[in-house]
Amino acid sequence: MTAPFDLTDDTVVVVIGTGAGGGVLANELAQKGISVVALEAGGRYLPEDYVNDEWESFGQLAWLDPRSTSGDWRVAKDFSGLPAWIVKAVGGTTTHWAGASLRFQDHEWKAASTYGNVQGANLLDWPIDPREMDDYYTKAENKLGVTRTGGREGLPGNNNYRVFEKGAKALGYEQVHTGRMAINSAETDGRAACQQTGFCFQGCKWGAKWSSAYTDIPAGEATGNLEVRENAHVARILHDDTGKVTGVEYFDKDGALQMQKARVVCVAGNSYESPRMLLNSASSMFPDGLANSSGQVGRNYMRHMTGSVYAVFDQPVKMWRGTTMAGIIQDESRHDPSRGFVGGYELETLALGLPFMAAFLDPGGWGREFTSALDSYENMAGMWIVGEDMPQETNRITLNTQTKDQYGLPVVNVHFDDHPNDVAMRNHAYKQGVAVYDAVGATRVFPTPPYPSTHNLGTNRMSENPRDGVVNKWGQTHDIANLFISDGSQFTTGAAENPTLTIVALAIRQADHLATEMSAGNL
Amino acid sequence: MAKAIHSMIRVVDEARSVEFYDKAFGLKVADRLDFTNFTLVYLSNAESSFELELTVNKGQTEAYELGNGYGHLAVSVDDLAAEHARFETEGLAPRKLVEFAPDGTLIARFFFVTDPDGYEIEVLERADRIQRTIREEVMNKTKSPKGLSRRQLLSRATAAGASFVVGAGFIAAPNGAWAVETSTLKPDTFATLVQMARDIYPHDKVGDEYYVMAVKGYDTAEAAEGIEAGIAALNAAAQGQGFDSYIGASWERDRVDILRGMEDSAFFQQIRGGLVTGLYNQKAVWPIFGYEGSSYEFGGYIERGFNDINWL
Repeated sequence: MTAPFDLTDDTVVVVIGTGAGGGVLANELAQKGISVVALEAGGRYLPEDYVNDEWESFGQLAWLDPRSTSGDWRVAKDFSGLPAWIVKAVGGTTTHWAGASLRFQDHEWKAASTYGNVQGANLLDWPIDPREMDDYYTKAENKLGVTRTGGREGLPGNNNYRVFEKGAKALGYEQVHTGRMAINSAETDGRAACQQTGFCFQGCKWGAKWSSAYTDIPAGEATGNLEVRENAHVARILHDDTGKVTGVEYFDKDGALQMQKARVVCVAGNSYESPRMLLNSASSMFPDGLANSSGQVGRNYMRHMTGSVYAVFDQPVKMWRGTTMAGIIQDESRHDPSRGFVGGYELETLALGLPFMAAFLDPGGWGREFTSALDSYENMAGMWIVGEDMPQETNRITLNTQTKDQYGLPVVNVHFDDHPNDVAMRNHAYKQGVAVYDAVGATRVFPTPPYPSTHNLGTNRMSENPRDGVVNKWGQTHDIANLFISDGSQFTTGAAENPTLTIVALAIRQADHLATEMSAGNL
Repeated sequence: MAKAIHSMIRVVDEARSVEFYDKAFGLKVADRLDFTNFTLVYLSNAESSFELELTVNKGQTEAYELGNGYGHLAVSVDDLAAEHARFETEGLAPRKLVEFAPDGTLIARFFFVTDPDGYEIEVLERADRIQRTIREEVMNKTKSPKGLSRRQLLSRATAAGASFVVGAGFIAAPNGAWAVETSTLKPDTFATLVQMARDIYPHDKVGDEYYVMAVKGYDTAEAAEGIEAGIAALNAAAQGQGFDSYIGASWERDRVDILRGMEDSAFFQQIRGGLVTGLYNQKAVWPIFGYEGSSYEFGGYIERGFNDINWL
């Protein structure tokens, strides 16, 4: 029962993007009886379409439109045209995500106050009190079915976890478990329990992992209040001469330019596309792009401090079997400047298949040092490092006017330099990760550089003061009352935790706020 | 559960049948039991413990009646087209190679052959057929462009590193394990390219045919000019270090030194980058590394050892 709305219907809320932010927001609004048109650049893929094959899946789901890179991060050298590993499909990157669902720690909402002055970092406190988020986090955990919350059982540990856990315990780590995962440990609401298939990153064939593609989106459509338009690539957001946004221009599946009128526009296209849309919407009234009076649109791009540690043992591990990321060490996530950096990091189990291991273990590497590692692939264990990186004004998304996409629109350039705090934290994490595996008898270890980013944050950040950021505490842009940001680009700081749970909690919260404001006639 | 161990057929001429099954399928005599009135011969090979039992009744000179009930014995092979060609060369008179594709999707391919007593034998291509189909396209193990037999080809071969260049447009492994036709690249260039691929990503357990597949895509009109120039530069670099050619450097470390010297060149990076998917994304390579690939169709690992580690 998909609701069809007229292009000229100016009572609808237009949501751009259908991932963790947009997909959840669209459903939450539809459940409240609000009419929503969701514009999704990608097509619709469901569990029966996903494939247990890394490169084939990548071709099916990944956002492969051109982008460019600059800065000293290694991704700019190794994957210069592919700064991010994110998804272009209904459900966005919730098809690809691992499912790790962690709440921010209280102090991470107040990074500037907690960490003090960090040279070169553009730190700011979120304009949100941690206690405001408690109920929304609970709602998000229940929506996603997060294990180890709400009475839900944890997932069983796979081979990769068992190696990781044994090493962690040997080192004296205490907060070690199979994670808080948005992956069913028991069948729930018609979705299967995890079958330990692996390939979490390629879309869950069982639907055991939460993705908005087969949960929130169909639930919203079932209300009759939500229309999802697939293969609808947004070009720009339009406004009237009072400075209110009035609609969205997009290219439909045939490449024809369409315009959907709107009462409110919510942008949730990930931290690259969201600022890109604002910048590509520049007009004589807003020559620097929409909602950019602060000059902060595109700035403070964060990608989490990441890296991996793989290790080879003298006997098989078969790390690819089972849930990809059901394993975590949380002891290092605390803020403890005595380690030589502010903020903290998580260590989480991770496995890649042979094809992606060849691509990511040591990008550009060759010869026997490289191939002898792959010869031991069956005996490998792996973990991922994810920690808080420092927002920097110069780490930013800009329009690359030299390169156009298939619609003739300037693509983004992604500039990123590691902050010294990021480097110090990564080196600490490498050391600890290596120690975990050494404690289980690793014969060889590989501190592996960051992959193309999946956690893309900042670029339309939330601030108390309109001079410091793009949106207020509700994700409403400081400059334009009926223009909202609804994805991870509104993050003020990144925290150490995987961001999806917080994106979902903020979307639920934003839906409540929008409904209140709309019924009060303020929007 | 019961285990299938053998199937018995009655044959008229022991020597004739033993020769046929050896030549056709590499089945050798595993045991021979001679009795007063008859002889039992058990044939098998290393592929399987299953045996074909030949019963030879002494004094039987007339052909047996095979009737209309018995169907056939089936064997599977790695490379059906190659086997078919070999059967023809060996004079085994295989019937036409058939592709079974009821709705356009290839399900199986096979041919039939008849043994000296008239028993039918089906020869099927092994599983992983999609990958095999790709291999068929790039590899043509025995069919020579000039209609020579494999043995003739190999006798004419001249050494070129790990592979033999066998006249114009055709190279083969010295042991005949694989051979490939080139359409655009010079055979020497292609042989050097295969060696370069192996030196960039050396895996001693991975056969040359996978490296051949990984670089076969460069044998096109669009790519050939750049590849010929790149290989010429590689050979020039080798000559600069006192070798006849790149392949003329017998030690891997010498060849790797030559490669290091051109590591930043666009040519090197093109070949290396292409190998990352060209080599490691071949499904047939995965089992060599122990990687199991897609698991959904087997129900995941929940009952197949996701937590079976036993050495911790």
